[in-house]
Formats: sequence, structure tokens, C-alpha cells
Amino acid sequence: MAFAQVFYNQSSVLRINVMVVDDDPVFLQIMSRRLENLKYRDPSTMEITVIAVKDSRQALSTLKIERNNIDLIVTDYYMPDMNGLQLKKQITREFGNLPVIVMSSDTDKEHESLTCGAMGFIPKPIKATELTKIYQLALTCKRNGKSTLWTENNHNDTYVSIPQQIQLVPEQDNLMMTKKKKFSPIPDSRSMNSSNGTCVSTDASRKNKNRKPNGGSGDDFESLSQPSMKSKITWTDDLHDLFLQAIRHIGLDKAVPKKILEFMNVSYLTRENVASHLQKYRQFLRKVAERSSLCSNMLPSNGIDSIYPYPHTREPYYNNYTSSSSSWYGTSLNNRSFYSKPGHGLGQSRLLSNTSDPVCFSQMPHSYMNQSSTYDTHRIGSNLTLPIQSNLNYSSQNEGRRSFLEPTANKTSQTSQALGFEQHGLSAINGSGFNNNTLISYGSLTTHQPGSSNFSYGLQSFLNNENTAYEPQPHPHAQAAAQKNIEIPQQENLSLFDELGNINELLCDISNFELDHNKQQEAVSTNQFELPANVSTEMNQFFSLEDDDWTFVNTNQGHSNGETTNNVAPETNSQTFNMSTNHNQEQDAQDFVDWSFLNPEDLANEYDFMDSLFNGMN
Amino acid sequence: MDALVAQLQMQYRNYTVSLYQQGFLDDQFTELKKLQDDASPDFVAEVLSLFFEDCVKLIGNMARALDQTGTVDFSQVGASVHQLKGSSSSVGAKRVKGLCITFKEYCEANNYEGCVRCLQQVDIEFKALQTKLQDMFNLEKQIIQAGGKVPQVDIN
Repeated sequence: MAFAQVFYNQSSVLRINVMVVDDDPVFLQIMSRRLENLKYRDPSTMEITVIAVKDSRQALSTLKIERNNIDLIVTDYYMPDMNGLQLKKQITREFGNLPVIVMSSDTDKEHESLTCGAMGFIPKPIKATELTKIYQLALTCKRNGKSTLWTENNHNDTYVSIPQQIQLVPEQDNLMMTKKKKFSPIPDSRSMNSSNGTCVSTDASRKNKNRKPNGGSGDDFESLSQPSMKSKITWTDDLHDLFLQAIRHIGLDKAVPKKILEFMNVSYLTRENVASHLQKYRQFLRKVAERSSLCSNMLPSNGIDSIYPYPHTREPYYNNYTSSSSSWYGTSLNNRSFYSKPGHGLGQSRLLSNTSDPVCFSQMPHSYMNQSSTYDTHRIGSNLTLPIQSNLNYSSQNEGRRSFLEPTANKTSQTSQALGFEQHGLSAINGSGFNNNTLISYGSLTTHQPGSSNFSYGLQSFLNNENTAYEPQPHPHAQAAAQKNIEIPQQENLSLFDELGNINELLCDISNFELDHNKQQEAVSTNQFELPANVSTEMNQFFSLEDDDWTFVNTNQGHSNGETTNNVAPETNSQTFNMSTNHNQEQDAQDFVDWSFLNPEDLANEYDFMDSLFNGMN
Repeated sequence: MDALVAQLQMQYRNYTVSLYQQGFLDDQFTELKKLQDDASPDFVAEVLSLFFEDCVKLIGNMARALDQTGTVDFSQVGASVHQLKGSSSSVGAKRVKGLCITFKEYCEANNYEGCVRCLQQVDIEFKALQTKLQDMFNLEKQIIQAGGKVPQVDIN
């Protein structure tokens, strides 16, 4: 028992390592100090160690060395060599989904940063309240990040280091050894914790490790972490990503709130939150399926190419489900899903996780499979779009699609796996060009919307693109344009597959679409993705959430009250998808989480930092 | 002794307040001071000397960029200005920061004369700030030498 005590104490000291990247040495010094001082506010924590780095190159090399010891990266945007977002992407490429916060005195970069998957954006000069948010974010990332690490077993780097950390060895000396490891005190101590301090459990199941240690050490920080608020839980992108990951891991059919909650391991989330979210999610999938089955229009898919250039992390949903699902919760976190399924990480069970029928992929041409998985690592949508794309390119689309998707169209479950769809998803794909359209549109759309908030982003894009499904005419246009401008990925490039993190060889040249909407998008987007203005009406129909409020978190608080009515590409502005009407109609039971409205005022709890972080750094 | 300390402290307070009032410093500087404690008594001094070094370097960059015979690369000047703006804002050097904002506009407008003027002004400003802060630090030293503690100055 004394033995256990030792471990318990050890685990109660949380060490957080933050890497700050900025070309301004003055700022670096100040920021380091401020961050390190944060620990004094929370006695039960910790140590915050700040690793200050002057440029991106140094950041990357530091990461190479200290990969698993860095919990959070805070980077400046404007830097001479590689700007903050490029750094972020590079980090994701090489190291997976590490949380990255972008800072800048230029507040215009907020949207772009969030879109590219940054965990948050903080305007400079940094206020004390923002600093607290960073701290909380670091805490959360620390906890969640560790559990994520444990599920990532197909990433080269992490694969090597993780087993050491998570290995639970009953021998005492081994435990002592791991204790000594400078940089992995947390996972070790956590694993100790998981055994409840008695004997070290040899249970290597990841879930256990994820759950208990985090739960244990999480309690220490409960005061500072997000308190469990039953009322206003905001399903941010990241949270939703985690949710999807959980579902994928568990399997949609086997997904029960309890298991999901365990997997997600987020302290402030209750079973009820998860339950209602799961319910909504299921409904959403059903709707998508219904909707897609209505559409019988097949579009030649050159438009799909458009998806490639837009590696938006804002579209996790749609990427996963290949539907016009709102990509509300687009975050880079979504990419994690790929990590967790190394074997069939070919985007297959993104959503549904390991199912008994991993099948569909086997039917696919290998190249596609590979591609999709590689995309996953740092790009959303890679998974689904690639396969789709290939299909679309073929004239005999049905056949191609079918084989690609899965043996039988009827087996929606399988298709859904392939596409990350749920049961009904398949029919959409097989039956109609609807999904293609949506896919296409998404690709084009997202890049298009400089104005929209990150969360609403995807949905808006939906709106825009969705209509294309119903309007054949614009399509040839778009396709033709797309075709010219977007190079079709060479499917033979299998090298992508091997290095999951190595997205460089993306089939599409995404470099154009990386950051500046303003600059690069015009060239690409305007010709290809001009969608008719009445897209949104179609979208409205599609999204008629009559009984549901699948609105997404609107980070643009200033513009709307959490709905997706904010600035969107001009052509869609006039007919903004009016969520509110739908919303009004819904008769949700009270326990449905209403995440559509993120009024800051409503968020009484200031610890809901994720939300406040994204909802306007005031 | 106490009288001396009290007097010095009073002087210090007044001087500091005047710096704020004259717009040399802003609340970021206050925040900066808060980061200093017994564990790191020279934190502010360190940061400020870093800042001044940075100023010299950046001003040098800007001067060089503007001094090009031929076409001036305003984006390069702008990049340095941006950096200086960032530093000055972190440190609380209000006037310098304000100047940088104007400077940046001139850069964006590719206004050569405007840029040169701003550069000269930035140079003057940061040197003035350096002098003032040096005086302030000297006062602090005197207070400590006289056996007193440096008072926390509340800026209303």
C-alpha cells in the first residue's frame, strides 16, 4: 500500500510542457514567464515548463526530440520562415494531432487559424484571461492528449514511444524505473493510478488506461478544469472529434453513452451529455441517409477534385460521412480517428470504427485506400473523398462506386464504414450522385468562406454546395473548371500510405489552399466553386432539422447567436441557412443539448473555455 | 533613513505615474512588472534590455531596407515594423507601438518619405524610453540601497 501511495502522490503532480514559438524574443520571454507563473494559481498542479523557441525550424526539431513531452504548442502567426499555420500543418504532418494554439496581433487570422485546425486563436497582446484559457486548454490537452496518444498506434513516432509509457508492468522495479523517466511521469503515474495503487494492472487494454488514470489525476484538477455543468455543454469541434473517435473505436452499433464517455475521458462531460449527443448524431445520420437516397442525380465527379485542395479541418463530419453533414465540428482532432485504426485506418471505420465488416476496403483499389488513410493524418476529408473521387472519375460510376464502397449496396453498414457513414449512408452514395455532389461541394466550399466562423464554416459550405446536387447545370461548369484546375491525384502513389503522417504527397496540390483564403483561393475557388446563390434553400431543405438542432457551434459570436447566419461567401449570404426556423420548430426534449446557441452570456461558467476560446476572445 | 526612503519612494511613484501619463508606458508594462518577484528580481530589467536590443536590431533592418538604392522593399520594412510593434506591445512601450502602427501604414502605402520619417521618430522614441526607464531603475536601486522597498505603483 505504501507503494501505491508513492504512485499516487506522483501522479497528483501534473507537469505540463508547453512549447511557445515566436520570432520575438521579448515576447517569448514574457510569455514563458507568464505561463510558468500560472502554476501558482493551482496548487494541485503542477509544473508548467515552457520551451521557448524562436522559429519554426527549431520548433520542429524540438518536437522531434521531445515529441511526447510536449503537451501544447503555442505559436505566433507571423514568423519569417514558416508562419504559424504552416508550422501547425507541418506539426500535424510529422507528429500527429498535437494541439496548437495560434497567436497574432492580427485578429483576422483567427478564422483562418481555426479553420486550419488550430486548437485556438489568441489575439495579441495576450490578456490574463486568455492566459488562463491556455492553461486550461493545456490541462485538458494533457489529459485527453495522453489518452489519444494511447490510441494512436499507427503513427511512427508515437508508436515507438507509447508502449513504453503505457506498459503496465507488475514488477516493482519496472515501476520504479518508469517513475524515473523524466519525461513520462504522467503516463506512468497514470497507469499506476489505473491500478488504483494496488498492484499494477497488467491489463493493457487501452480503454482502461485511458479511463482510469485520467480520471484519477483528473480529479485533482477538477477545480480548474471544466466543472461538470449539466446544462451548457458545448460540443466543440474537438469534443465532437473525440466523440467520433470514440464511436469509431467502439462501433456505432455498440456505441452506448457509457462506453463513449469512458473512451472520451473528458472530465466535465456527463453521460447525459453524451447520450443526447449520440442521439442527435444518430438522427443526423439517418437524415443524411434519407436525404441522400432522395437524390438520384449523379454528378460526374470532377467536382470532387475540388475537395482535395481544401484540406480543411473544418469538415470532419463530412469527410467522415461523405455526406452533406455539417462539417461543423471540423477540427484537426478529427484526424486522430485515423490514428486509432492503423490497420484499417483507410478511412474506413472512421465513424463506425471497427466493425465486423471492414470489408469494403478490400474491394477498393489499393491506391485509394492508401490515399484515404494518409489524408487522414492531417487532413479531413481525405478519407472519404479519395475513394469517392476515384469513383467519380469513372464513367461507370455505379459499378466503380459499388465495388469501392462495398460489395452490396444494401449493406449500408458496410458502406458507411467505408465512408464513415452510418447505416443509411451507403444508399446515398450508391444510389445517387448526391453524395458526390455534396462531397464536391464541400471541397470547394470550405475554402470559400473567409468570413464564416470556424464552426459554422462547414455548414455554410454545405449550404452552398448542397444545392449543386439539385442543380445539374452548374455542375458541368464546376466540373469543367475543377478539372482544369485541380489535378487529379495520381492514384498510384502508394507511398502516401506508408507514412501516415506524411501528407506531403497529397494527391492534390493543397499548398495553394493552405492558409490565406484571400490570396490563394481566388485562383482556385472562384471558377470552380461558384455555386448558385440558391444553394442555401436547398440546403435548408436538406438540413431541415425539424426535430433536431444540429446546429453547429458558431464561433462568430459577434454575428449571430450561435447560428450559422454569419458571413459566408457572398453567393450564399442572401440566403443564409436559417437554422433558427428549424430550430424553432423542433420539439426537442429538454435533455437535448442545445449547442446551437453559444451566447457568451449563457455560458455562465467561465471554465467552458473551449467555447469561450472559440467564441470570441473577449 | 526612513525619511530618505519615503522621499525616494515618493519620487519613484511620481516618476512612474508620469511615464504612464505621458504615454510612454501602458498597462502591459504593469503586467510585466507583476511578473517580477523575489524569485526573479531582475525580470523586468532583463526583458527591457532584450527589448532595446531588439529595437536596435530592427531599426537597423529597417534603415537598411529603406536605404536601398533602387526600389525599396516595403514588405521587408513592414515585416520589421511588425516585429517591433509586437515587441513594443508586449513590453508596454506605448509610444513606440503607436509609432509602429503609423509606420506600418506608410509601408503598406509604399510611402518612402513617410517611412523614413517614422523610422527617425521610432529611433528617437525608443531612445527616450530607454533613458526614462533607466532613470526609473536607478530610482529603484536607490530605494533598495536606502533600505526600502520599491513600492507598487497603481496606475489609475
